[in-house]
Amino acid sequence: MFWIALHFPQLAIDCVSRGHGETLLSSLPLVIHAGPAQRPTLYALNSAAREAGLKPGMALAAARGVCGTLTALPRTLDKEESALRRLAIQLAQFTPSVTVDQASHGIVLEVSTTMTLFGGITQLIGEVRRTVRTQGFQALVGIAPTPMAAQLLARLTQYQPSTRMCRDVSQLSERLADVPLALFNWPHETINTLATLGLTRIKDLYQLPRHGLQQRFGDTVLNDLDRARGLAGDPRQYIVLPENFTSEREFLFEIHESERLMPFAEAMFVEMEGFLRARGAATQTAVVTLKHGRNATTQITLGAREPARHASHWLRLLREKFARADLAATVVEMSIQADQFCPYLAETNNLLRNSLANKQESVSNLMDRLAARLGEKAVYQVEVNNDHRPEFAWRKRIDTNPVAAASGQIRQRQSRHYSSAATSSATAARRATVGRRPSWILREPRALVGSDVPQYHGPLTLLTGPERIETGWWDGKPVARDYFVAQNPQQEVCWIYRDYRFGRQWYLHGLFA
Amino acid sequence: MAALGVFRIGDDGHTLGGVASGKGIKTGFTQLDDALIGHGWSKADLAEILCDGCGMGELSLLLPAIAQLQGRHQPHRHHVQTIKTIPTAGRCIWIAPPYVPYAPALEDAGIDLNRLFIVDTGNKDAPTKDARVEDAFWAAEQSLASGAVECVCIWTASAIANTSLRRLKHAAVTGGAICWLMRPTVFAQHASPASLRIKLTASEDGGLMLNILKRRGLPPNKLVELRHRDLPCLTSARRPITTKPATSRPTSLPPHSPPYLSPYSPPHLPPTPLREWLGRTFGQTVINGHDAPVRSRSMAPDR
Repeated sequence: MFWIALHFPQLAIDCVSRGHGETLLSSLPLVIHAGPAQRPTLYALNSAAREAGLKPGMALAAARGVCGTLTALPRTLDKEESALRRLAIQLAQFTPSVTVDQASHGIVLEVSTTMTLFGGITQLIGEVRRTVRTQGFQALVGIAPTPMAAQLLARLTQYQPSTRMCRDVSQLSERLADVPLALFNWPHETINTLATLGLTRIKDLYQLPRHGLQQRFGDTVLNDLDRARGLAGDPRQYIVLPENFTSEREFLFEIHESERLMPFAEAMFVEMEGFLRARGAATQTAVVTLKHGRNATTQITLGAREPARHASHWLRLLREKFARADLAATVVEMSIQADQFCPYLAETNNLLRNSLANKQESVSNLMDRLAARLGEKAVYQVEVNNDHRPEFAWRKRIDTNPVAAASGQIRQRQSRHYSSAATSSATAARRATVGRRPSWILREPRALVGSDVPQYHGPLTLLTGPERIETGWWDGKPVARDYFVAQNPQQEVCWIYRDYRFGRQWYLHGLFA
Repeated sequence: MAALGVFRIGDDGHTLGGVASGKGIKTGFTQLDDALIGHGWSKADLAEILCDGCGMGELSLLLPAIAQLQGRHQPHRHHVQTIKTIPTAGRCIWIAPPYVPYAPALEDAGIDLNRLFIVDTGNKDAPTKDARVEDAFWAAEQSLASGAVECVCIWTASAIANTSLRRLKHAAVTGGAICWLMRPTVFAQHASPASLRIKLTASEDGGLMLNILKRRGLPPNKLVELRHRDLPCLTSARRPITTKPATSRPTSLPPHSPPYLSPYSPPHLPPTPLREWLGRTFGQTVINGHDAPVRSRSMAPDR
């Protein structure tokens, strides 16, 4: 067993300030206050507040006296917990064994089974650190063969930056000897009592009789000591990945420009990518919700033609959406949801590096980007429909979901198979019209001027015809038309028709281009 | 022809963006192939086609090349595409076409519709014309540069800044794709970075007259005539429809064919009586079995 422990000393402040950018925060003293409502005290503060001379534990009123430009926010435990849990979910991409220790603001990962996959423990730690950093958290890292020892080493990093990793269980007692007892997550009374007895480090407890220790301080102390050294089991409960993905960010300020949203969106999409990696899934839709305050919201639905997981792709789609229409109002909160997943199919990489094939974007990604800016219906394909009426002989196809499209093709194939007799006559009919159909068709037939000599950019001369196309009683859209091929003085070849029952009106239906 | 040979070596030899842009894509018309360097449309390049109006055969000029890019040489093949075998080569994107491409006709021309994408920029999100043109060019540039498609056709009727065209050409070179830009002939006088500019006019016999205003490596202003029988889309449309009851045609009738018995017509409906049909079609009344004379002489073909 090999454990990576992450300790978040600044969790409360990171939850609020992450993503807002270092330069902004350096000039903004920000504190989180906690305690009774009558006399709130400072719980956590950022570096700007610390530079202004504030200290944790100060009364908020006193702090305001010291620093006039102070931004003070109440501590919300829910937010901290959910942030920690979401980070743990994202870290589940590195190992399925992730535990969250809410009491001590920590996450512990068991990585003995997966570290080879990520190229060794050093690389894996690098990946974990990078992931945590993109989410805007400051983490201290400790690595040890037991989770308790890893957590202690992580917390110890605050004081001794060098002691971070211990690979061998037999060395654990020695490495932990100098760890202060205050780093254990024990009640204050216990730590104070131990301190008054002159016991401040772990090595001080090694010499004491176990029985007496247990009698005075209960099971917790002894158990934790044994667990840290690997002498007793330390079962942890691993997190269970949720069914849906949700991530939200609350901003310290109102945001006016979409460009300022991008860093937040990027972090959230990276978070989504981590979640999808952990689930071995990909998604086709992500919904971005922008809250403008006073219950006004904007919802942006991003769709991908092929299941996608990469943050960069989603970010590009969102950029295209914003390029078309900027923010309607200032934004105070932003969230991203995804709830429909499908298995992820990895792309195959080309063996030859730097070849053109490697630079190529998949066509579905391209269509996604075009559709994101121009509208979902703007990008389409056409297909032949088995119908004799010209306007029903083609069909628009918008592939938003390839799975559905593929099943549609299967269905089509089956229907062709089942009605083979009908198909052969339909094919024969198609052959008869080969080359007699215009390459451009008008969505709606255009009425032409002139009943005797129809006019379209000049008088039309009939070349061939008529071709009678009629009936369609089965879906209530019958036609009764005589089609002619006609030409105008500009040599444009048109496909025109008139209703043979009661029309003298000519219509233009297509152009032979 | 020695000079031509030298040009060809230069053209074949240079590589752009890792793709040898040597041999061109056959246009499908030998006269045109001979007039172009590389014997066809050159890959990774911008070609401009200047043409007024729609329906004189401008699409027929491109369809054989697209069909060849897609690797389907024989037209009129009706086979069922299965899911797995949709090939990736020859993907084609049409941006802002003037009308909807008609699927049956394209299939007849040998185009695989699974590999044809259409981008419509006339949506309501872009209210102004300028915004639509900008959208179309943006889409074209993105498609070309992505390398995901092999040819892009873009239609525009507006004047375009030279920088936009340059960007389009650069994108075509980066992505290794052909870009056909279709514009009205008024822009023939404007300068353009396109390596090939062809002006289309209709010829006397209903074919196409190609005036190559600019081409790479060869002197400009070359005329190429494509007869209408070379343009598959136009020829069959002009071919008279073979009619079944042609035997009993009275001599006094106009040279229109009687109603073509369409294979779609339900068999239980008897064909409309000839005289009645004529009366209906041309708005004439059938009185006492006498045919009124045809009003419009210009309706009659081949006069």
